[in-house]
Amino acid sequence: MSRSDTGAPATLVRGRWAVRIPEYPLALTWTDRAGDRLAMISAEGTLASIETVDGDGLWRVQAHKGGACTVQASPDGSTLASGGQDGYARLWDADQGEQLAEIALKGWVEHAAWAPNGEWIAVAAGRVVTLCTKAGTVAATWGDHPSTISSLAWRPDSAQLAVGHYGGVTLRAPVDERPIRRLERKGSILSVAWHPHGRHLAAGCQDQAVQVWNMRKSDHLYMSGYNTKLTSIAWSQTGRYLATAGGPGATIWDFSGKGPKGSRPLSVVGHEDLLTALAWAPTESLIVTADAAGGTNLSRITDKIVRTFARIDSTVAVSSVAWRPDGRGFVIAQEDGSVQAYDRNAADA
Amino acid sequence: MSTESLVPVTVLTGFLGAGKTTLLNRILTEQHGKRIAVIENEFGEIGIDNSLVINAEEEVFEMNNGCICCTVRGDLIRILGSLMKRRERFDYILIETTGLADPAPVAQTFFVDDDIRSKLRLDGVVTLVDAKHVWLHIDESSECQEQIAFADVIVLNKIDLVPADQVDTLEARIRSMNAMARIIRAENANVGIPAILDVGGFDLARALETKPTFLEPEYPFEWGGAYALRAGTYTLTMQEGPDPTMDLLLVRHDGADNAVREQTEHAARRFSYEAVPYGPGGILTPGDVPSSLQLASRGASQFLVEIPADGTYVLYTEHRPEEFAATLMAKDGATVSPISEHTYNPEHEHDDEVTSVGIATPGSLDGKKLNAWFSALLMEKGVDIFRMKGILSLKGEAERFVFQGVHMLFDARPGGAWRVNETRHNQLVFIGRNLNRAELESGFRNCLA
Repeated sequence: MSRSDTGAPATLVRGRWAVRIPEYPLALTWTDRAGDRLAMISAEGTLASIETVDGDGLWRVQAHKGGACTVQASPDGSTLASGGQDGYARLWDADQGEQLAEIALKGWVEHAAWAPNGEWIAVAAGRVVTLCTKAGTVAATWGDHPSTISSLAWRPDSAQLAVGHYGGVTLRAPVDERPIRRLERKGSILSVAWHPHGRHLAAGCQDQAVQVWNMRKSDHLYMSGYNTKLTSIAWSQTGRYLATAGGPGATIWDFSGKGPKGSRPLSVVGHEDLLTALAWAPTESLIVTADAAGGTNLSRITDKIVRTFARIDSTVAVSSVAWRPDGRGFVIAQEDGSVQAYDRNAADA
Repeated sequence: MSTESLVPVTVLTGFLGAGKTTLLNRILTEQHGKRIAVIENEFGEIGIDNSLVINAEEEVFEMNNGCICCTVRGDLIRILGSLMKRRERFDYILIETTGLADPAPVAQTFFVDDDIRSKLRLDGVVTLVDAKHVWLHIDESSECQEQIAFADVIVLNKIDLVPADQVDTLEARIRSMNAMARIIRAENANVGIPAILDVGGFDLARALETKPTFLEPEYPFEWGGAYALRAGTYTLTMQEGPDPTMDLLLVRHDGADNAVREQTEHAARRFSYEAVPYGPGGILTPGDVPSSLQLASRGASQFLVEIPADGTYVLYTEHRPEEFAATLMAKDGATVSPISEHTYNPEHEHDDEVTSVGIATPGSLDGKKLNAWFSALLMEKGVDIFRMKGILSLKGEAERFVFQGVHMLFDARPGGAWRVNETRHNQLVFIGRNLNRAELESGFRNCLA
């Protein structure tokens, strides 16, 4: 791991440190609530822990021979769940990088999702979702999905797991064998995201559209006309806004009042290439959007206005963005393996 | 992004037992300086150390984008996306499909998905054909036909197991289905790597490179003959032949040289008009409307030909005259022979469902008409058109217009300026099922400015 200090790349954000593991970073995840430690996994299978005050490497392991797919930290940050092309899901102690458990599955383990209550971890390999306890014991195996699983998302109350796939989303409850219901949507679902109060379930589609199911009424929204397939979708912390990326910018739908039906969405503009990542701050309506040309924007969303007040320029595509849990800054990872931390300037808008 | 930085992808198709695995192993073991990642859809057949081999389960997804025939391979979108994050490990990707795979969703994936488009380029579809066993499938199996129709390169494999004349027959048959592909003969899949990798089958820039089979025009007549005739009445005699009717067109040509060739395009256009039927004894005249001779079921049928003035006349016939033992006699009973003649590519012996229609014509096209015709054509026939390619001349445009496509999806762009004194011309080819040659040709010709 090499390390260097970054200059001041933009006003209103301050670069703090940068490290580089010369492999494609797939995912970033915080391993403590204070935001002092971060884990990342690379496409080659390297799992590394970084101390985020100075950017020092704490430990690194080869988590998956033949490449990794995903990593996610448990809500308390103590345990990491990773999945790889070797057909295994593994649990790791986030402090030391020791392997705690291993679950053998069939095919690439592409998705791992901790239940927000920290009791369950769901992993997906091919068409099969395996539900495990936090200790890594298999509690249920769900194989009745019509295609390879594209995404997993727990409802914030941990009572339901949304499983995205071709043709819709299957809702499941731990540890019931049969699904609760299937939400149908023609075409391929790429990502799913629950509204923070469980009111809506949003799905980004391959068909350049977003589908939002209202979970209380049979009142659904289908927003099409994006430039590309949907690469990211995320709800703001209060659930007022749904940010969606399917082109060179983010489209933000306002769910306050009567909702977005018939309204014009807000847009984050100023990106020169397709958006690759977006993330809402955990405490307010601030959003980081990043693109394939290496640009990262920090924008504030107020009632009807998007104000982009900081920009970080680079020449390497950004692959992921993660806000510190306290909202004081964020970390971006780029395709060449560099990971950089930025602090919000206290004086920002 | 320039095409050089895109990772090339070759798709290898062919029925089970056609030799895909042998060819794959050959590619992976041969020294060619390429690091190849393989995505295979048939489990565990190859095992080469140090190669990146990924098993995939075919998942065909319909696109919900209003294009009825648009399907993609969901598994490839995921796997190729993942592979591109380990970009430094390979510089070429090979996708082996299952024996019964339809190549369309694979090809369409490269048109539809933006991630794939931005990082990879489909180089070509290589189809292996088992020279011995393909006869069991070629008439019945739509997958077999589609694999042949989609190919940029067709490897006739295992030719050592069948007599040479059978290979010739097979090659002719395949050529009639796909006029665009390069056909290579092989015994045990022994094909040179340069013949199958980096062929540029979907590359618009390389579509400009002349490919003889691609450029070979096809006409609605098989034969043309120029005659020096005097004013007066001649007798055309025909025996019964392979067809109960024979369409023909007689046109006058000013001058004597190159009459057959120079009138070809005109005749081709006129041949698409509805022919006027003539029974035996009918009187034919030179003109712009074709005649359809209704032949007696047995024995000779005679028609009179009225020539208004001395000159050179060209006769174009639907079938070759010798198939009907056709003769032209002057009033004095002397047989008149053509001063020059030309035989056009003969009609295919098989009424194949899958065929190629090539169109070549000089002139420039009206962009608006072309657009309208093409849109309507893809709407109506997109499902049946497997592949298409073309280099066109648009009126008022300094550059060639190059396009290529799969079903309803296509890429197009300007491709190379016309020289000042160059004769503007158009070449295009459609490969598909139940294509109506005459309709395609007349539709296209109507777009001429």
